[in-house]
Amino acid sequence: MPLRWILKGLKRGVLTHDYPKKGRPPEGVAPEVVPEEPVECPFGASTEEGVDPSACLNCGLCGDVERRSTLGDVDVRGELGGSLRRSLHVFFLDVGSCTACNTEVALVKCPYYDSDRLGIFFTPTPKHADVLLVVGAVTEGMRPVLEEAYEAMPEPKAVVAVGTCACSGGPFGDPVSSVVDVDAEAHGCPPHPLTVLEALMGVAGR
Amino acid sequence: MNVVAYGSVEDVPEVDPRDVPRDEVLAAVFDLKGTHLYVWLDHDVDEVKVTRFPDVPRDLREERPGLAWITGSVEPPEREGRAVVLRYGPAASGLWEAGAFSILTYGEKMLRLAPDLGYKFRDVEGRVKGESPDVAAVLVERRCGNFAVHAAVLFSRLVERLAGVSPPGEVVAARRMAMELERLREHLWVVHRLAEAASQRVAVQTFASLTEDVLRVMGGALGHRYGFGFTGPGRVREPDPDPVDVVGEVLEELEDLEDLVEASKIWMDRLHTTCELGPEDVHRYDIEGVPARAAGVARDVRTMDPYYPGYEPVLRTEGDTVARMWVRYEEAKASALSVLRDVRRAGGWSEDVDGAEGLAVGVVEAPPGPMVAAVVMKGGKVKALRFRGPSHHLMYAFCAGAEGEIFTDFPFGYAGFGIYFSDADG
Repeated sequence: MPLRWILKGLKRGVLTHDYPKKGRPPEGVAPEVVPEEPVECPFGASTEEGVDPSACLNCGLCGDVERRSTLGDVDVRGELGGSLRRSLHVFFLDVGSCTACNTEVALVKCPYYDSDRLGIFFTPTPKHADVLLVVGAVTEGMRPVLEEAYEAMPEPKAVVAVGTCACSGGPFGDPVSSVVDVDAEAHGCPPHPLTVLEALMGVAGR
Repeated sequence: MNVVAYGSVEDVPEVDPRDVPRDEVLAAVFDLKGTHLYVWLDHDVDEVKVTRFPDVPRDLREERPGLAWITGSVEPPEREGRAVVLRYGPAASGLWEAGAFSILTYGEKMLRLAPDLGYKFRDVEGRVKGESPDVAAVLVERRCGNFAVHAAVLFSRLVERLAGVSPPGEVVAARRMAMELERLREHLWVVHRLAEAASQRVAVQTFASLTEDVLRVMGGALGHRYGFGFTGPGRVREPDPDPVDVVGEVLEELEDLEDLVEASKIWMDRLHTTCELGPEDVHRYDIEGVPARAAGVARDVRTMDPYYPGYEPVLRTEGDTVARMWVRYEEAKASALSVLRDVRRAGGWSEDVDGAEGLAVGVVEAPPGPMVAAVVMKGGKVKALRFRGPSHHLMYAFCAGAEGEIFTDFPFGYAGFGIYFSDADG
């Protein structure tokens, strides 16, 4: 039986994209419908400088059609570098997400993105982690859990906030940066798996 | 019908819930405007019914033990003799979510379990109060991103009913297509999680990549990988039909894989007789959705939904995790066929819903089970919203099924329910 599964897998061929060697793969995104009456962002993402990508829910109510069809960008402020450039162990922590971010993070391990080939591995304990990857707006119940997880990590360590809720609090609560310092943000609601990988590679210094 | 409307809460008939026939399923109890709205599912006549009563009678709990699940009033287990309580969560990697279970255990056996809800409470119901229907829809679909389309469609249909507008046929087709894409993606993801629990590495990657295929279809056809913003009250985005062709390939792959999955003895043995819930449990605890259908009880609110004329539920009889997986597998294939039928006739829509006034209550069949909501609209704004995702009731159903199992059965049982703390907490 295992042989039949292996043959089945081989028949599907190589699905993994060449990212980051060949940049991001194109992904079809349907043309957006511009709202008849665009409104000022009800969630506070509009600023004098334009749309704040860390707070944008990509809901399209403001009529910013171009922004809505992006896959999300990253903001890297700190790098671990050194020996962690090639091998990064990540502890995943949800502090109050809608679970879409959780699924996108889980999908970085699927054959299309294959985080293993980039030396990015998930670990079940913060004690073995170089990076704390956090999704969701911080709820009251998860605030002490976030603090405890961060404290349990060995040095050097970095924090990556994934998704609008983790980056800015979104419409539901406080951002991760209100509890611990954040080294990189993956924007989007939710961010695409490639955006998550890009943020992780950013803190690795690659 | 799956949606009912009233001028106000006071217009809902006052009925003692103890007088409601036992074969009507109690789907939700909403505390609203100083009274309690009881939402019943009558599968004999395929209708949702709503009654009100000032309180929740104590003796109703004896007649309907599932009421303690609905109201979240289940006491967590306490130490008993040599059995101790183990906390699993809220940062356990096995759950992949902020949530926890209290497990009374002796040795390897799980004697009793209870979910510890609230870690992900974001008060979506409170935050939509006073908002326009469009803004409220953005928040409602973020209760649980994995069921976003179903939540948005349910909320939209309630507001549209109160505004007296009905979507044309091509819009119904577009919404049905989006909901079935979500169901297809979610069922594939559950099979992936079950394969992961059994360490079936090739199967894990196969079903993960199929899930990603459907997410890409949703991104291309609906404009968002999770369907966020695809629909709202009085509007549906014009779907792009071209990316949907991939669903045909996913369907072929599912048909091709079926024998292989069934013949994977190591995998199937882990699911067989795990986390069993029989028809007597389904009736006793007012269980709906996939776990009911896997136990041979035809409870699927698509049978009362005008969006799904003539719908026939998929049934299995064993009531265990393997039965729940096959119900999902069959439904995934049916969803793919439904999407392929609807794609060429689906269209966009824009209609004013400013005149929405009153109370509407409704239900749709989300991937694991029924999603129930009640909305009160006044002056074009949301005055009150009550929302109950399927995961809330099914968290407790999982715990009931897992009683007496051993620890290593936990991930199989939990994955097979396909439920989320975000959906349970709201």
